[in-house]
Amino acid sequence: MYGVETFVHPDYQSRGVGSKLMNARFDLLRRLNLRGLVAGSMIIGYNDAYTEADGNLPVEQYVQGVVAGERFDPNLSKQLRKGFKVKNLIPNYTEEPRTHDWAAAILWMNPEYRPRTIPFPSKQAQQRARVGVAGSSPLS
Amino acid sequence: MIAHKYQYKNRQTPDTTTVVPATAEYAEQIRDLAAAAYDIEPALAEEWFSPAQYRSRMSHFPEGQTIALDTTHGRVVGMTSSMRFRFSPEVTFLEDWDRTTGYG
Repeated sequence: MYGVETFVHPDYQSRGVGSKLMNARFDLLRRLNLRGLVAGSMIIGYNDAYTEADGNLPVEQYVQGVVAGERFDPNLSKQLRKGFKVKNLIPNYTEEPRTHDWAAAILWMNPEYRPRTIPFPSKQAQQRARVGVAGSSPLS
Repeated sequence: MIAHKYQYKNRQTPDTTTVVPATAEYAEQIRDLAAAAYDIEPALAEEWFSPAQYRSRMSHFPEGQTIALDTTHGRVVGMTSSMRFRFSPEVTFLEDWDRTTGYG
């Protein structure tokens, strides 16, 4: 599953609403037995940190700082707290001055995901072998 | 994580919201909410966050569209949107938002 967007009204931020919405997504992954959730985290604290460092702050270093807990990003820090992991960086993700168009590809894997197994030989082939249908083999 | 814990604001306001599936009648409210949350002028909201786009997502993948309602007045105050998507956790993910979502 892909996280298209999440937003909360400014008057309702910092009350845990975003966290509840994210939990609804995690519940859905479990319910539908989906592998995980990928999203582009808009690292909206990047430009402020970049300006503060007089431009000496490559995006990799910023994200490493956020992952290490040494820097706070209003989006990514909260997502890390929800259990997302950073996979890689994405350039030109969306036009946004606060992120310099970067995003962090983040991933949350569903711990309850069970891959569906396809029996081989197929159930039909096994049945044909059992009843001994003429001219058929389990692999036909 | 601990070093910057102070940057999380204190949650002093009680949470009066409940999370429910997003349905078609909320699409206009979702547009207005998106404009407020992304700080987009109301004039551009119709184009950027059109109710038709949100209704289209609801019909493609209803389970993936969820809203938060304030139970005191029943208005939409939060939204999360997801889509079904085949991915491999081992492969670097580089697609931009427009491409992945088909421009929303």
